[in-house]
Amino acid sequence: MSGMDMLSQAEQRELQGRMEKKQMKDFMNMYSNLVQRCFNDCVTDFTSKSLLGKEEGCVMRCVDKFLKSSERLGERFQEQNAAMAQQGGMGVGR
Amino acid sequence: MAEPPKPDALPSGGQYEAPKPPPKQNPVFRMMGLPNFRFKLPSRNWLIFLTITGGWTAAVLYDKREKKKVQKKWCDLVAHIAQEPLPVNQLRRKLTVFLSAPPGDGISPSRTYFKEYVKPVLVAAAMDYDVIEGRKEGDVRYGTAEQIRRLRRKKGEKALAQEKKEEEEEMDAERAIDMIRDKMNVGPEPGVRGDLVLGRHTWKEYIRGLHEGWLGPVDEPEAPPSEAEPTPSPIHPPTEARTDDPAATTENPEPEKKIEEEKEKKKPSPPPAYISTDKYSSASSSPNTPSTLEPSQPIYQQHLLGFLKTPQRIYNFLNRRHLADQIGRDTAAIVLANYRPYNQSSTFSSTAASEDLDAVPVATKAPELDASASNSTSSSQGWEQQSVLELEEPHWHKSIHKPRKEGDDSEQIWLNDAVIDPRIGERMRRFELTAEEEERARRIAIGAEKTRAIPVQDLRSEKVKLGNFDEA
Repeated sequence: MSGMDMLSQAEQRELQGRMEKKQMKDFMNMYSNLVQRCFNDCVTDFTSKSLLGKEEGCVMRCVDKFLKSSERLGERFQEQNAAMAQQGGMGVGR
Repeated sequence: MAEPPKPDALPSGGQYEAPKPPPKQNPVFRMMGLPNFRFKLPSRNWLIFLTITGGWTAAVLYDKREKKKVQKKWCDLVAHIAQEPLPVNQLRRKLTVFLSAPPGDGISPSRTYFKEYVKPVLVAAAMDYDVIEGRKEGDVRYGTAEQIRRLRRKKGEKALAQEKKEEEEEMDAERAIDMIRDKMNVGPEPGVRGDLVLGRHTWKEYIRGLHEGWLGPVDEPEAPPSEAEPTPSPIHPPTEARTDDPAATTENPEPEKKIEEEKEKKKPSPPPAYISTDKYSSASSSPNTPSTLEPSQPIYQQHLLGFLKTPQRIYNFLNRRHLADQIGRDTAAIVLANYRPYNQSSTFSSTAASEDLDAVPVATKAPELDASASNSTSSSQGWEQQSVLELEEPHWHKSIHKPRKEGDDSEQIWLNDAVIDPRIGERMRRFELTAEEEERARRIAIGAEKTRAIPVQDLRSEKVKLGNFDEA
């Protein structure tokens, strides 16, 4: 990042700390989204306390797909980010 | 008092009869309690009207239903591909679709044609595609050639020493995306991609673009200075074998000067080809030319214009199911990736011989056929690529045969024959459905076989069950 060298050491450390906190928050957000979605969609039979076979299978697949899809989306997002930065950079430089 | 109607009032020869009593009621009706009504046909005029309307409606609805069935058949054949898992760092197979405005018309007919006939099968198989569109005659040719040249530049064929710096700094969005993908190790799915070409006009431009891209120079040749003869010595040191001058100019000095002036005012779009057809054999092909090019599939495009052709167009409209069947078959061949080399045979060989090759999905046979005793003695060998979709040409609009405007020296790709260089022609492959898949499609159509896709079970549609039946 080009802006890093303009900050002092203390500021850099503070920035790092804040970024970590943000990442943690994002991660917890994702986790709660995942749990909510998978529970709402997969578990429908409340006549028994334990998970039925199909519910268990559904939950496993749900988690799997959620993580994979968020990874894929992250990749596409990164690409688009770079493309936009590229175009934006060219626009500014002109 | 009025007299009772005289018998004389009746037409001569008519006898006076008492009014008939209503005919005996059908005892069935009387038992059911229905009133006594007679079945009567409507009048003659109504009959004519209902026949025509009913007949037309029935024809249209039947054709629509059959077309849907046929498309569903081809979609079912390929639906299992959409459910195959894909690792996170792989991109789905990406086709390149070449669309071009038919002669005499705009690009909308081509787009709706693609969306109606080709896209359902691609969507059923979850195929990604990239479109190269063309509005004027040379657009697709330019787009194809430019893509190939970009690929060559990426692989390292640098154009000129002077422009090197500019080249490296030139980054556009596509390059940025490519760089990120390289870093993250995201790559396309293993397997062949493919080219889908819609219509013979697009096909000719595609072939021209292929040759221009692989056989021509990587960067734009210099426009010749306004002198009569083209200078045989190249202006810059050639990195590839360069041609003397681009295709747009001819030997005449006057049109040259005019074009020169016009070019200074406004660049001709699409830009002229970087290599002309007669220079093919002298040009050296790029060292990056793959041993087999991406397989291609020409698809028939039905496009009729003209008021007097209305009966033909009505007939086509009532028979769209056959078109959907043919196009569905071609597109399924692309999706299932069944391809074979093009046949390089004399013009006398029958197409029956080419069907023999269909049984082998990835044919490694030599392309030569021994179908006919004597090869054609014409100077150009008969390539299959040249005769594909030939039936479309008579249907083209007559406006393209009109004499061209003065000074319009752009290349006539549609009216000229396609010129094929053996080096490129040998490397082309064609998608064609194997006999086994055809059989399977036939069985799906009659219901003997189901699609290989697994039906999706959605637990969200299940009702929530509450209660305490089981304390386990």
